Amino acid sequence: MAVRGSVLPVGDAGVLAVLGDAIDPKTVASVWSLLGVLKATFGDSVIDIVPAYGSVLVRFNPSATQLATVMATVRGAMEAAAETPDAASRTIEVGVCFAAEYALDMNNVAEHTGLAPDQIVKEFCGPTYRVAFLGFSAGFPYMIGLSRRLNLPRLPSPRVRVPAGSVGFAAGQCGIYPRQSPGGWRILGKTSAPIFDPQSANPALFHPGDRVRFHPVATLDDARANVTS
Amino acid sequence: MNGSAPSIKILDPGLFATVQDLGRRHVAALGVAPSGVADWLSARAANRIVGNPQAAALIETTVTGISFKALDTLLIAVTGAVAQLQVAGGKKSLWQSHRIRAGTEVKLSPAERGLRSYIALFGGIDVPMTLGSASTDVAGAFGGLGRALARGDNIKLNAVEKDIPEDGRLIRASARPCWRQPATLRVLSGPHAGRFAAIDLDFMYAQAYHVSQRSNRQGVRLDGRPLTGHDGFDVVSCGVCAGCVQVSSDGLPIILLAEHQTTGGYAVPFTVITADLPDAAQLRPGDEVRFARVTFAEASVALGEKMEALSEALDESRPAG
Repeated sequence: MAVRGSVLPVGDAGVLAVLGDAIDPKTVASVWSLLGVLKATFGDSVIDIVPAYGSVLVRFNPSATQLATVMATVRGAMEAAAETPDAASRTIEVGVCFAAEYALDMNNVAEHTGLAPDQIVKEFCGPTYRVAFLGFSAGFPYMIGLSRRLNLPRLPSPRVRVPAGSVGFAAGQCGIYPRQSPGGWRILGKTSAPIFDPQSANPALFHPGDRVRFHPVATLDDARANVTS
Repeated sequence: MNGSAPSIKILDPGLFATVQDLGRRHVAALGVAPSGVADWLSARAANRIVGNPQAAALIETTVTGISFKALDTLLIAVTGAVAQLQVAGGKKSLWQSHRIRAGTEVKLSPAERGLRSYIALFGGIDVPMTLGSASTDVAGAFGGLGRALARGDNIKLNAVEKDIPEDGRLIRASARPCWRQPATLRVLSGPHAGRFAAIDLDFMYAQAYHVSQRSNRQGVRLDGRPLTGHDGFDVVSCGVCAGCVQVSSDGLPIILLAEHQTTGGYAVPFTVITADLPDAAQLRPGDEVRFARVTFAEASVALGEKMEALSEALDESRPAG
């Protein structure tokens, strides 16, 4: 029991619990566990609880809440959190169209890995990924579990416009761009699954802890998501 | 008045004006930026002057001012940047409420000092709440009007049961921020201070930075002498908040503002205190800014003083003229 790490102030309105400084499944599982305890402990009494790969940030109103109180509560939550990975989680199957017009970086990935496009698709669709956290833009899932054969860094210079729905990877992670935005990840295909809808009661398709599997589809119309609990 | 919903018509939105409130809560874990007003002090003050809740939706402008026409009788207050306010061609004070008759034009000239003005209207702006807030998320194109204000927009206000209050309510001049130059922002040690050598932190504290043209509601980018001799200042992405000062790959600082991304991969050597976020939000391109270390106790006192000044300086008496 208990997760280990340090508790640091972020100015006068935030507290950061740091559990690790690498991207690995064990640290991510500790983050999910701590996130659960923090949500249950703080409820709506703080402004935001923000998980990432190896940390959880608690943002609070410094006019209403003492920094020392939040730090003590976060330390207590770390004692109560468990290091064991969670058992129950959802699985989301995502159809991806790998047609050349959407696979913006297929050629450079083939060049750098020495794999043929169909092998790249197979490597990419092989693993069951886990959503570590959401960030960068609303609903963007940071996923871990990428095949080592696709271990390439970000593009040397980021694209100004990555189309919405683009599925890509970089530096051991993969993700889906919910809306058109700048981005430096290597794009292999596109999905038409709605990733984020601010008007919906459940705005984000993905949540931390979700299992995600990709499968190739012939056209963008078939590139949808299916959620099973 | 008496239950009917008044409105205004935008004649010239200026460079960039949006509807904002105090921002989104409980959705940063979805990757949603907090948004909301960049300068909490001026925005809260404007709402208090017209008798709105402090969280009421108002207009935030950027540098060039704005002009609009009252389609009904209104009560307004303008705070924030130092600028000329004209109602039907007559000069009016900022940080004070003014009753505007239907059909009157209100014009705010370009800011002389500071960057952002806040226009509170009695009743508050009536836009649908998106993810719990009226704030415009510009990058996500949701909240507020889903975009910046445009010429010809009709902005509806919430109908209020009570009559429009008398005008002349104000924040006393001694309590109004004046966005002094050069600016000094007080900071606390950040989560990645340990990644920086003492000599690098001293280098940052010792210099005067200048505000870059590339600044926006996501952050204030600073130009100056960059930190060098490092492999970079990247960390594993972690949650960030407004006021975090990131050192980007070019060795220069970015002060995060209201529409910042929820997580960031640049190291944060220090963080601007909440009391000085309004001063950071009012920095304009070319302005000079320094960072000064304070203690948590000093940060807490500074915030308490600004909150208290806001209530105490609210003067109900009607000035002559």
